[in-house]
Amino acid sequence: MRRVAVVGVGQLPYRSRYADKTYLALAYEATAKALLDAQLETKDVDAVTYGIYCPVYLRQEQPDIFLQDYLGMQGKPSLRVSAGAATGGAALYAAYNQVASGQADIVLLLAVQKASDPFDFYTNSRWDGYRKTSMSGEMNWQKGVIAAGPVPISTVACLLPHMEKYGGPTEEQVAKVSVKNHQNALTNPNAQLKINLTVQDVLNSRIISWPTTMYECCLYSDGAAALILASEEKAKALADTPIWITGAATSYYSLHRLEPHMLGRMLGVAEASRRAYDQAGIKEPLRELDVVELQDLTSGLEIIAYEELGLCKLGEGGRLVDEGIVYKGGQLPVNPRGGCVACGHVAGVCEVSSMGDVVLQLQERAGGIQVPIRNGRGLVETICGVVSMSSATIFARED
Amino acid sequence: MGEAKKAVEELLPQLNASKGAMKIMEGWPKAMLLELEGEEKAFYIVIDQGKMSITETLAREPDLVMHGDAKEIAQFFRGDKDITHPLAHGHLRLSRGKSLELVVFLSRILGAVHRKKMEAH
Repeated sequence: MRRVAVVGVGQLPYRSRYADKTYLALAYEATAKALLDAQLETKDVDAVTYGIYCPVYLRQEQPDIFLQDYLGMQGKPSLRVSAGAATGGAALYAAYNQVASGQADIVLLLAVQKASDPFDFYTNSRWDGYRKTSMSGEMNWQKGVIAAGPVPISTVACLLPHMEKYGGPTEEQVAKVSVKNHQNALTNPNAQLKINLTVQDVLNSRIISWPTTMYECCLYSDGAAALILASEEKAKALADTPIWITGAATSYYSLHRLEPHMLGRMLGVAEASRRAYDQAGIKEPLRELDVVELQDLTSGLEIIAYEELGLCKLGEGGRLVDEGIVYKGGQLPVNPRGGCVACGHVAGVCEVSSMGDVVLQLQERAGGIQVPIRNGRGLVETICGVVSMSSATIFARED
Repeated sequence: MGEAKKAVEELLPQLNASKGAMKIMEGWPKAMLLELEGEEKAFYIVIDQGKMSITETLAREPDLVMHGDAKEIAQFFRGDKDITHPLAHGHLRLSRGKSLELVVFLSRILGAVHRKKMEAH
């Protein structure tokens, strides 16, 4: 396998809606930014990997075909990856393997998603467009019932059993994570929601699925993000500080059977991260990593992710919050961009944009969200909202 | 006067002056009876012609009957705590009317009034 590096990053700010731009326009802007960052042109790209979660939300089935044309990539090898809210992680895995295997030297990884454009052309209904995503649930026996929404499912199947089995996290610790991420977003120019909250504000906000409250739930955004991946030879020629992908792994679980050993756990995160750590030679992630970006689809899931990523033992995630370890000035800052609850979230884009943030962090050009870089290693974890598809990617700088 | 009634009375001038809240209230002309623990007397909240008022007597049957803790209801009307909290913890119960309908209505009118408070925060 060849070594693979990221040599270009393109991110658009998260917005609740880009009413004036199609998904094509958003994708074009993110691609142009990434190519500019890598000092490349369209003709230099060997292949494209699209991370696009939900065509229904874009009002366009098979969007990759039209993107290929719109971006000027006609004739080049391409593929589209979709894996729920882990789409970006799975797409990175596919793009990485194209370069690592020698099939391509330069790959554009592009994620685009609008969440505000669904429409059913037969019933002329916006809501009917949204309803189609209920088919993400198991459709033979459960008839999509369990696709009621990621917040109730992740709360009932993961957070509450975790609290009961392991004695934590507490409601206050979960609220502290939300406050931390909202504070982090205040200095992020790409963040969608910039408000200063207290723990009491979070606890007193609307209960979405007890004990998860409104400010502990991710936003839903429109956006686009792109990365340029390059082989070692190309990366060294293109970038002063290429950021190497030293570990890339995915793990899939189906939660629909709700087996007892899966309740309260994010087993996919545990397995994906162990594989990625093995590839990257990481033994003590808390000590060896400088920054972690993970998908806080709810703030409770962020704390459980600390444990599943091996930053602490099961049930001790809340301690990392209480002791300030995961804060911006702490030993291992988690979600300095502001997380999904404040910076923004839409499946596919959120993960690729987070990867871009970690690359920028390691290159020490992350601006207002920059954290101290000591070891030159960062991690991005992605997980689907129903605690099913997961990925872990390790990025490293070599001085 | 009880705590909950006082909180509603303090809110009325803002509520009845808010165009957003008034528009929502126009579409929901109902009467609610609040029988709360910790409150001196039961009282009615009446929504009529886009305005909210309080009364201790009503010549007709209320559309909703609420029971619960006066302190928590007061917190809600002051915008300190969302209505879902007393409902989720059993501190607010309905013996008549639909709770989801109540939650949506109250959240919308309170949202219209407290939005500025939230933004300032």
